[in-house]
Amino acid sequence: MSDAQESGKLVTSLRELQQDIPPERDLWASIEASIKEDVARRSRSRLPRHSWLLPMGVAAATSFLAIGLWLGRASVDSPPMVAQQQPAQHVEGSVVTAVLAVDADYSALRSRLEGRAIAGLANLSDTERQQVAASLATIQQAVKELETALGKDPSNALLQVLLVQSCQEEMRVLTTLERMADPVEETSL
Amino acid sequence: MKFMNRLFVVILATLPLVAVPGSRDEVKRVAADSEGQVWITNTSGSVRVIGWDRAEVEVKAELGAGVKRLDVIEEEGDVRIEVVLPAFGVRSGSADLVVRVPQASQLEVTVVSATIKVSDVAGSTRLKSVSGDVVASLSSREVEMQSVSGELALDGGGVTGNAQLKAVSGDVSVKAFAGSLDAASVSGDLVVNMSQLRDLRLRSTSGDVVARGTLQADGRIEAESVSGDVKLELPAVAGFVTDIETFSGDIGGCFASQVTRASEHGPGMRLYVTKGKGDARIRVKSFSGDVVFCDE
Repeated sequence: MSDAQESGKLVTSLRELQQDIPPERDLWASIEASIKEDVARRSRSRLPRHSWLLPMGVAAATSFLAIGLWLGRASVDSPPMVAQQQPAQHVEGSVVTAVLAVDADYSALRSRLEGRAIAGLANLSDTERQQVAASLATIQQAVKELETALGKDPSNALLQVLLVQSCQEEMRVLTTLERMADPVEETSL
Repeated sequence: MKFMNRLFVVILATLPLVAVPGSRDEVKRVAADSEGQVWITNTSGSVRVIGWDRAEVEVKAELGAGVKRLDVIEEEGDVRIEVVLPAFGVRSGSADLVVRVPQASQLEVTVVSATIKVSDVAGSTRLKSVSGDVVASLSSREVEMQSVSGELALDGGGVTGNAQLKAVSGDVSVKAFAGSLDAASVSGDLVVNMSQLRDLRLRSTSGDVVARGTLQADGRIEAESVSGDVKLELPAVAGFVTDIETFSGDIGGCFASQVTRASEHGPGMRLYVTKGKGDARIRVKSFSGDVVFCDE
């Protein structure tokens, strides 16, 4: 009983209640158990829901790193060469090669250009047609040889660079031959 | 009625002969801006262009039987020259043109199977052929030459400028040119003899690449080949750095003793050499072709 209750006065403030009454039992044990259970429950419920965050983060970081390397290499001039320097790894080469290999648009464009290029050859004489067809076969053979060599040595930067250049050269030739259908109008190489 | 039908058929058959005149010569002259543009198009035959010091364009043409007409149209100082073939029927008319243009004209010539020869023109020059050879002796700062199966030959007259030469099966040769050059051919050879080499890019698939000239202090040389050989003879005015690499070819020349293997276990040879301050850069990439480099 508090002083106020003992005197029969109406309690109007918490301060008027008795402050030093001990609890009948130790409450902390149940409070602590409750907290631990709550933490454990939260951990159990969160872990499955966000388990993809770690691998996703790693993947994103790796992607950003790769893109950053690629952009960095593409945007700056090649570093000064010195006799002792190891050859630079052409990250852009591997990226572009990978893109070329998987890009369906590139394959479709190439096939379309090749069909039109054959039509463009009709503007040439037999001898010239044979020469140009041989050149086209040469470049396509070169691409195959480079692809074969890359299959054995996928990380070879030299092969990657040469393959990309050869693919670009093939596109240049196919585009030229395609435009030969109306050569006086347009024959840009 | 039968007679009328036959007459109708005969008239139809002779119509093209009436519409397209036979072989004839024509000469046309028009006033032109001394630095104006001149466009020339011709399907087959030849086009010879010569620069002169007059502000006019003169065209002397030998028109073949299949040619419908020769148009020489001047508009605000620019001149368009076109060999016109019939819109229908056989389009095989051949014409030989000799065209004189103001020296500083900006020239563009487009042909199919005609040869192109240009001399004494100093304005920007663009020459395009499908199967004809293109030969130019110019003093232009901007040059673009293209051919599919024809050969390209440029004499730059010692001028410093930018040139771009691209062929498919034809050879490409350049001499007496300085400045920046970008040349490519698939199966043709590239032979470059430049007085001063500042910015050079050569690409070939199976043709050989040969470049000679004085390498400037800030020069950039790039040569790439798949199966063709590459030979560089580049006396340098200052230092240089090389980055020469071949997958299955050999590397020789003045620095053959410094050639190393590209990898411990795989194929490939490399040559990294630094001479002097190493400002100029020489970069060569080859798949199976040999590379020879000398700085003398």
